[in-house]
Amino acid sequence: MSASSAALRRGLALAQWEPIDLWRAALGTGGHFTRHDIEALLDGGRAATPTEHDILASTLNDHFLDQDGGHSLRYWSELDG
Amino acid sequence: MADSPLSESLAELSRFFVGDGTIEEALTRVVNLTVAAVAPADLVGITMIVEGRQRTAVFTDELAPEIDQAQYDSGSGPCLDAFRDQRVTEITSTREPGPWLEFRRAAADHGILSTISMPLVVEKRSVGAMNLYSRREAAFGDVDRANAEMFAAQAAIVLANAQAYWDAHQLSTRLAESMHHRAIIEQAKGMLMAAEGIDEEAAFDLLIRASQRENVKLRDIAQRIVDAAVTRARRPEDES
Repeated sequence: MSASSAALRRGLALAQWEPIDLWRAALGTGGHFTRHDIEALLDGGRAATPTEHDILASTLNDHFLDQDGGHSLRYWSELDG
Repeated sequence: MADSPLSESLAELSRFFVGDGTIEEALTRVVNLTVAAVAPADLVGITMIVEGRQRTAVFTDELAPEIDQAQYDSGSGPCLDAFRDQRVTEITSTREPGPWLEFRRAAADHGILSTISMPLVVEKRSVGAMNLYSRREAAFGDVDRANAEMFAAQAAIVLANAQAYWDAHQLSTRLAESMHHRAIIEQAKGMLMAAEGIDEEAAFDLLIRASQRENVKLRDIAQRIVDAAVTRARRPEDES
């Protein structure tokens, strides 16, 4: 599994979201994801581009800021490897 | 068929449009129709899961949730069994000994002497229980029981439809909000692209860097950029 997939899965778990929740919220940030895209990016079936990763990371980070701001997901340039 | 309270209530139920109000209002209409349709019933309530806990969400009389609290507190009662086991449960006399002692005592203390609870089942899934309470002992006969079962089946469908309607309504509301946020972000990206001579990806990158640096949501950063541009554009008019 790529560093991007692992980070996004961790963010999804922290948000207590299902993939459909991330798909819906990401519509408000950007990109052209289908629900299938989101599932494939999460389970590593497809590798995210840097922009795709950053859109999904930003979507989750906005959600964390909406909550208590206690979590932050790494953007592409900050991922290990 | 003559216009009996039962047929009138079922006809009313068939015209039911859940979009007329909230789920609670929809369910309140269901229990009011039920108490009119099943003559021996003095009170009707619906047990369902609300915020992870069983409760009498709607009722025709405040006595119903007061009585039901005994079974929620003890974890045992005819409504809970009807809900969990998807079967009709009945007490012909709450003054006589039998299962669900705490509930029997609470019901009798409130003047309720017989009860019948109908599971609300949709596609083999239990969505709640409808509870009919009477101030008379052995009030519910075979015909009442059959009518109540028929009515509960209709009520379960209304409940499921109401839930589906409101799920869809909530989703469409959230999608509309998402589209609004996206529009603001797209506008901000366009402004950055024009101002900085950069491509779309670089503009998005600038937005996320600002969001990180200031610990502010990306959409709020975008909104600031759009608002600032609008303010700048209006300033010459204000000054003239």
